[in-house]
Amino acid sequence: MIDIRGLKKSYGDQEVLKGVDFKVKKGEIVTLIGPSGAGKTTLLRTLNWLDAPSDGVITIGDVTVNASKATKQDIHRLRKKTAMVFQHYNLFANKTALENVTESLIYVKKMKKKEAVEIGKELLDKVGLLDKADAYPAFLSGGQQQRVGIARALAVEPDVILFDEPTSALDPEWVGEVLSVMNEIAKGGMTMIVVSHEMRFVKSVATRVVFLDGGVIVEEGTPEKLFTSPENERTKQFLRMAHLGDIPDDYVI
Amino acid sequence: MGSVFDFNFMISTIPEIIKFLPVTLMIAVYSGIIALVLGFAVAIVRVFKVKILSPICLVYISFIRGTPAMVQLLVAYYGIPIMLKGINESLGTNWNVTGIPASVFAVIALALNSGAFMSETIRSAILSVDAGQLEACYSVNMSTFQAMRRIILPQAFTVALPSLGNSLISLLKETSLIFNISVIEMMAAAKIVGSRSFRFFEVYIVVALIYWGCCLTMERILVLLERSTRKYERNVAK
Repeated sequence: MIDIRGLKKSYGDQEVLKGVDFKVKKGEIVTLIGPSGAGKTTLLRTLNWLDAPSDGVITIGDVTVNASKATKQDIHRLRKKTAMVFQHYNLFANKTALENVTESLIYVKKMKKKEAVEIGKELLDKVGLLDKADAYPAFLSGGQQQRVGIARALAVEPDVILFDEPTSALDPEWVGEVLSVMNEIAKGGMTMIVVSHEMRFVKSVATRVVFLDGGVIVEEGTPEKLFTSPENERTKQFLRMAHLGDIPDDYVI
Repeated sequence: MGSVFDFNFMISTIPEIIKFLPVTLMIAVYSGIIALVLGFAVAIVRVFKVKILSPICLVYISFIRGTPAMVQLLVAYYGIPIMLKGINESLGTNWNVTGIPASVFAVIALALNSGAFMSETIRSAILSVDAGQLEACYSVNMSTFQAMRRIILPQAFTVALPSLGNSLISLLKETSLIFNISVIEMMAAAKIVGSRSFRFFEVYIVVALIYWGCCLTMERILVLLERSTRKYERNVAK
């Protein structure tokens, strides 16, 4: 369903993505891991054009966008297929939790307000925050804000939800509540691409793990395979450094 | 020569001076509204770096900030009629140049002046809104216009409000300059009353108090406005 070919992105002289080829099937839950600066977040952000790729072709569902000749309509159509959950939530600060969810329904999908509020409440209920519908983001905890963020993404009814380190800014006690919401969504069959080093999520939910380094995909596979028997030397090194894998150490002190 | 300070005389001049308060307020309100619209437009041009217009706005802001309001007022008063005359002569139009009341020039000059300062306030307020807000708008497929209208500008307005209030208050006080281009407003009325009795000090005290009263009212309105726009922000215990 998602097909990315030769995706490149540079910031000035620095090439962050050096030609990424990447496919995701419907219902897959793909986790991107890798050292910082590997291009994980950039890859995610190019998928809904928050960062414009410098080259390559992105296909999501029936929308294909060629980076070198993307028009405004292309970008609009591509964004319709995706929604993003941000590391720092990025909830609309001047809107209540409910309005955060209904905003796109009313102003992008041109839904009637009453209908939108109904759907909005349903989605807030889904993430367990119906009682906070009228609260402004500043009055919600980090975990609650991120759950509203997820409800806002669901309202778009995207083909794929992109999660950019959704739990890394959260206190440990709030990570669990966000992860359980993500698990629920995963069970519902939503396609998800997640940048995360949250092992609880990766091991229990992810169907595939992709290891990025230096702007290219180095290795990918099921969580079991990648974490227990990685083939590439760089993957091994990273997993060891990050204490992520189950690989025995080369040396014992 | 009577007493140093004639309180009764001071009180007696109030009706005569306050009669011209509506002129002052009228000019302040008109130039305030134009300044806000102008300031907003210039800020948008600068934020989106609109070609051609953006450098023009830069020169405009630089000129206004770099010259005294008094000079701008006189330049407008003498310059605009000459300019219109020039247009009449070169294009064969027949605008009545002498028929334009001086208060129109006052409004134009004050609005241009205040608009430049407001544009910088509004621009910095727009830039102060976290980039993540715009990203979030795009992530749910809002257009740039929708994002500005629904999310960015309302937040920027909250940030800009205290400084905009400041500019509006300054504007109200700057109307006291326009007696220089023969508009009879409160300051001019005070001068007239004062010169009749040679008791300038008393009448200027009256004028000062009236200005202060107006500004206090404005401050009060601004406080209330600010409170209602900041409802989505969390207070920090002091």
